[in-house]
Amino acid sequence: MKPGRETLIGQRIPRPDARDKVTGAALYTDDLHLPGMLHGAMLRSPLAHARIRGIDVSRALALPGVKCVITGQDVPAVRYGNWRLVPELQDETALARETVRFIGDEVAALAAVDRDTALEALDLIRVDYEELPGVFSVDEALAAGAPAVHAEHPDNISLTREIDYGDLERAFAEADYVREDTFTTHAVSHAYLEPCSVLARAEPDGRLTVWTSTQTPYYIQCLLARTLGLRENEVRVIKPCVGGGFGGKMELRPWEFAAAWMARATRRPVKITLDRQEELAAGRRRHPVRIRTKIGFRRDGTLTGKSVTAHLDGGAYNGMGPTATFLIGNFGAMLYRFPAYRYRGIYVYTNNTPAGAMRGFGAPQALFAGEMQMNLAARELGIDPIELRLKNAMRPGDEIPGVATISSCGFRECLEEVRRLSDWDRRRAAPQPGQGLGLACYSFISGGVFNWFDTRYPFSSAEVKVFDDGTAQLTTLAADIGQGSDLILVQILAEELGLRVADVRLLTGDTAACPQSDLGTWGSRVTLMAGNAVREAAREIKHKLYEMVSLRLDLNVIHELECGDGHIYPKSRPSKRIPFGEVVAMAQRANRGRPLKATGYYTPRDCGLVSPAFSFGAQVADVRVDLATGHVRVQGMTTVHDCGTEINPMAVEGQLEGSIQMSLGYALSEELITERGRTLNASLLDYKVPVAEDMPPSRSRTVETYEPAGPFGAKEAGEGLACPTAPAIAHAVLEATGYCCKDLPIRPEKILEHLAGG
Amino acid sequence: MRLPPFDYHAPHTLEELLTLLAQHGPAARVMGGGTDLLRALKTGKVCCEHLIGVKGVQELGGVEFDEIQGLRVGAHAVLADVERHPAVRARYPALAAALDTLATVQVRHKATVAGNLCNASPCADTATPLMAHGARLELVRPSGQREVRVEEFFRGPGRTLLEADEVVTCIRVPPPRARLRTHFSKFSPRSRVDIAMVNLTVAMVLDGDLVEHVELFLGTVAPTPMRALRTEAVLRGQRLDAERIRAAAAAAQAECRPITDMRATKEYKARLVHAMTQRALESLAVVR
Repeated sequence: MKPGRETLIGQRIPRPDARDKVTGAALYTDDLHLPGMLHGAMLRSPLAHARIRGIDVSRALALPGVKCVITGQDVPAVRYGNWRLVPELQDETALARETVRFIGDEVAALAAVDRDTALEALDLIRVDYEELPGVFSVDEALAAGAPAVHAEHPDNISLTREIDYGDLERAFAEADYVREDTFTTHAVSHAYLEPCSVLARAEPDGRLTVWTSTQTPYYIQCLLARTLGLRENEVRVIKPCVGGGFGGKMELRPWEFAAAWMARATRRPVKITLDRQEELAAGRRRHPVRIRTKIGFRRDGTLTGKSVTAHLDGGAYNGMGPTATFLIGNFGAMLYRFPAYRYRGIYVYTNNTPAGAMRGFGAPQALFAGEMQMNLAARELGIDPIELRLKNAMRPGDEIPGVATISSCGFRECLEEVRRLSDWDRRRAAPQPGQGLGLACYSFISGGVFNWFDTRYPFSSAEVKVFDDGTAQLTTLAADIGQGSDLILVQILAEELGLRVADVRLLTGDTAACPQSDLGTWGSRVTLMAGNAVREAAREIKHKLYEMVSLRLDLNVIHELECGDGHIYPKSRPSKRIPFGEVVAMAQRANRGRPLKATGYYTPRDCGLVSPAFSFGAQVADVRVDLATGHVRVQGMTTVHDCGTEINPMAVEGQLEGSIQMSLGYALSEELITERGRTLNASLLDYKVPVAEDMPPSRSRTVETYEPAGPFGAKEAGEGLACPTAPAIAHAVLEATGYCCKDLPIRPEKILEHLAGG
Repeated sequence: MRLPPFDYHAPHTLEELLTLLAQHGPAARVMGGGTDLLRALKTGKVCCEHLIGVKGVQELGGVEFDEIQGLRVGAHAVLADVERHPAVRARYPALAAALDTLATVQVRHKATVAGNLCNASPCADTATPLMAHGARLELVRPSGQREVRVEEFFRGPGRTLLEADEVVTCIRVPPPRARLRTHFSKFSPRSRVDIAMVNLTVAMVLDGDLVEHVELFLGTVAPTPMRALRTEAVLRGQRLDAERIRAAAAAAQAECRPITDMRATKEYKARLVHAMTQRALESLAVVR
């Protein structure tokens, strides 16, 4: 941070889009209407596994108002998926051709003059299915002779991933205390406020424009082009306001393909918006995982090693599963110094609804297992859980061999501070029946370095233009999906150029107008990666402007210049300042009027297999359990975290509150209940997302660190926070009742069964 | 989703309404707020040729209270009007409490109490407090009028004793008897905007610590909201001490008849009945 002038970094600046969003003025995809627009709908399989013998669409086509019906036979069978790097992992087609693999698998799509007609027409499509036996759990899928979900994988194992370092056998042999536990986690929904929606328009020149609710406009552009047989540049994807994604909107989805195809076929715009029932029954979800984990300690609590085996129930398709399979292993090795570590992750196909990326992406599962096991070990070793962690906590410079190197790390400070802030020692010394404090920690990535998409562009790009009226324009494909990254990037640019936030116009969310490229919002990457791209562009602009100022002021070459307060000036002589716009005008005059612009890029290099930077944090849950009903009331959450420099503390707090709400549901009430592949609670009445009144009061602090890889020292604050809440609550429930939850969620029935001695 | 085709009627008087019912009877459905019915029509769970909206029938509106007649809730009075009525808050606190937990603010401004009862869900939040207050439904058909107690009204999940040509005109709740204490409670995974896993209402008159009068109604743990007669028998005429409360809670647990569904097992719901009955009785014992 720069001393001597007002900085925008660390300012509490409210989001400029907040008013429009709460008043309903903001435009989301479904708010868009084009003349002549048709409304589409998807026909989904009612069976979990079946062969399609035939589809009769004649009655649907004959219904007045129906303009187009397509099935898998009408479109090229192009397999797609985000894993372009390994084409064998691309196992999905937009519409099923011969086989359906889950209840909700897309079989046909149609477009009609209005939504009601479209839905009516769906009922008129006759599909002749030959039902096949299915597999609905990891165990069923792996059993000898089990039916194969994909013929290419007769064992139903899509892939395995391994991490291995140190001498694990010796680690366990040298340990004084070894324990082994199995934890299971469940499927939950992203439950974003805005269901998926897409609007596609065929342009007269044969190109295509698609507005869609997505986290990753660039992926949609590329994969749509491939599935439609177009060149990438012929597809323009526009991202309007997005009402949350949480990982659920980062893949090409069948309705995006179907809307685009039907728009080209009918020459009329086509919109498809999913309803909540479709979202809950057939939408992506967090991977249910079974994690077997073995850990060894010396008597004094020093870790000797850990081994983890994870079986992911991937559902019918890979989606982002290969990444999750690796990341569970990565997150299992984080937080503590494991001299030896072995991970084996197995991604299993089933006929359940496919899982996908979801906030934390492997970390909520890995950390539920890892942190609960730490707490159980602490109990048995007779060591305070915070002490046990302090003893083994990662420090700056630590390495996960072959995987990652930790740069900034305030983990120990987080532990010390959360102990103080939660009144940990005093509360634990005086336990009250039915009450308890629980602890869990996290570490998370600040963007992924992996290039499974096999892009040939930089990971993030930002174009900056400056104008002679003292304003600037930032153009980037970085995708704000509600997390508030737009303001963060504007703050970063305004800070660099010494302008006000209001001086910067942001243009974003249009693959045809934004510089190539940006990988979108996932892996908590935007602040670090797009932020660095913005800084690079801003620095190039400043370099050109500083030349002008040096000339005008006839400065000695040793002078450093600075932007601030809408001016540019020598650092040592701030009074000799020239208005920013005037300097821009000078630069333009010096270049025959050419506008002044620069483009910055960021692509991580040479920073391991995972991420350029890691956040850390510790969280304490304070719960009260009703011993008569088993109901868990979370009375307070105390969080201390290390997200590097906070660019905007209000945004960080928003992420924390959202994380607590989401993870409260994950821990206690949310669960997609399925029976032979059918989701039974596909409505928000029975899928229990916590409401405002369930929210506990929250206290939080950040510890001061500076991350050299991040803009102004910043790292992630969006996903890691979603990971410790469930294990912290589970630990608190254990302290309050003696019930140790190893299978999420913590339903009140389970607590009562335990209390009844069951 | 498209609503199936039907003829919509909006009568202005009870007489017009009854004429329509006489004409269309079994082919007609009467709609209050429509918050359940319209969705059921859209999803095909219910079908009808004629839909009769009653919100324009003046005789069926209003929420009134007087000390002699008690409370009268017109058939198209919305939940929010009843919830806010000063007499409801002062004299029928269990009903007010139930309304306060029901659905969302938006639904409470659209849905009616009569509709909540006619929908005949075993977990209808207004059912047990109305039963505990001895509420009656006034039913009218072209051939005459009758009054039935709310507990008689339910016949099974989604079924009432309404005849095809019959309509609820109002709900009448007698003035609470002297010294009557009531307690409503509801258990749901979410604090708000949730359906009851168990709900119950106890109404009690204590003479010192002797139970002079008691009625206990349980919701969601039987095909209809049910009266817990055996539990009442454990309490009636007895001293409301800790031991008696425990015995009553055990009796309630034993006499409820919940089913296992995705929300919870029947055993757990019965445990909830135990816990909630015990708490309700404890709070009534303290209040005196």
